[in-house]
Amino acid sequence: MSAAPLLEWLQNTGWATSLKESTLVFPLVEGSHLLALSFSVGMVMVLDLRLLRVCLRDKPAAVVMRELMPWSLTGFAVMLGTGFALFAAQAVSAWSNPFFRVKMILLVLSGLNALYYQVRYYPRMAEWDRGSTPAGVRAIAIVSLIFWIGVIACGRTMAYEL
Amino acid sequence: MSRISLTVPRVAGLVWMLYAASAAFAHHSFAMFEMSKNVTYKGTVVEYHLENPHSHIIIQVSASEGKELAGKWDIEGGAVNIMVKQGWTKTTYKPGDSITVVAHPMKDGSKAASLFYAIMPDGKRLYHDIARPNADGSAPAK
Repeated sequence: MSAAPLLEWLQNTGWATSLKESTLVFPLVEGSHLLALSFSVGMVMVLDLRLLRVCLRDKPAAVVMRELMPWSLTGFAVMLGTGFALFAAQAVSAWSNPFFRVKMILLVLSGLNALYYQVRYYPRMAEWDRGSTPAGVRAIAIVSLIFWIGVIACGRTMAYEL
Repeated sequence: MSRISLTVPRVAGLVWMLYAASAAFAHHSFAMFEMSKNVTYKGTVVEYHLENPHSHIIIQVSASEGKELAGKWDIEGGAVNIMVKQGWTKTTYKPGDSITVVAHPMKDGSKAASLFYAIMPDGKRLYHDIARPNADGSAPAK
């Protein structure tokens, strides 16, 4: 694998080594990663459920989205930072872990799914928000739920393989 | 409306089944080890890693210990935080040291084992946290 030298370099940087050998910082970073996940993915799931008209039906989807997305994006930033740090501490073994790879693929697919929503449906939210939710939006919401559950399942499972 | 209200539980059910299936074939923390089996490995330290998420001691066991034990073994311990509480430090072992550990071997027969305890030169035991006996000397809680 041509990525090997880069992974080894990353794993052997001073900060990654310190993290790997730390007694307190590593569990704190792990905990922060999960706490950030609850904000990031939790808010996305609530929005998905709203788009499926399962919850918060008396609120326009646009309002729900506007209220929740800042929390979600902040959580995502923390999740990404802590996730990268955890990856760096064990880059070589994480990279060779099949669940890690599936997790990364699902993350990218989740991003593309959200991007598609932003481009295709978000600009016209005012039109469809009051009436019936377009089938495409409902499909995006279901796909988003599946992908994110998959990301979490892979993240949890890879920890048992390292 | 009713189509959606049916779709959601179905999707949730499917995802849950997938997750349960993936969890079933994954290595669970201690499930891959034969925890009721205690094997003594006597050899030389090749690598000593006190690190997260799991510590590892790579031990070379010589052929004189028998065909089943001979070879290079990966003895897996806990996270740094857990090991340090048991008295492990960065300098407990270094490559070249002789070492005796008692560990639970892999069920599949591969050359790895879950650390139970190491026997130090003075006879004292250094435990892997979950194997720590209770104060009264009784078996540790699972």
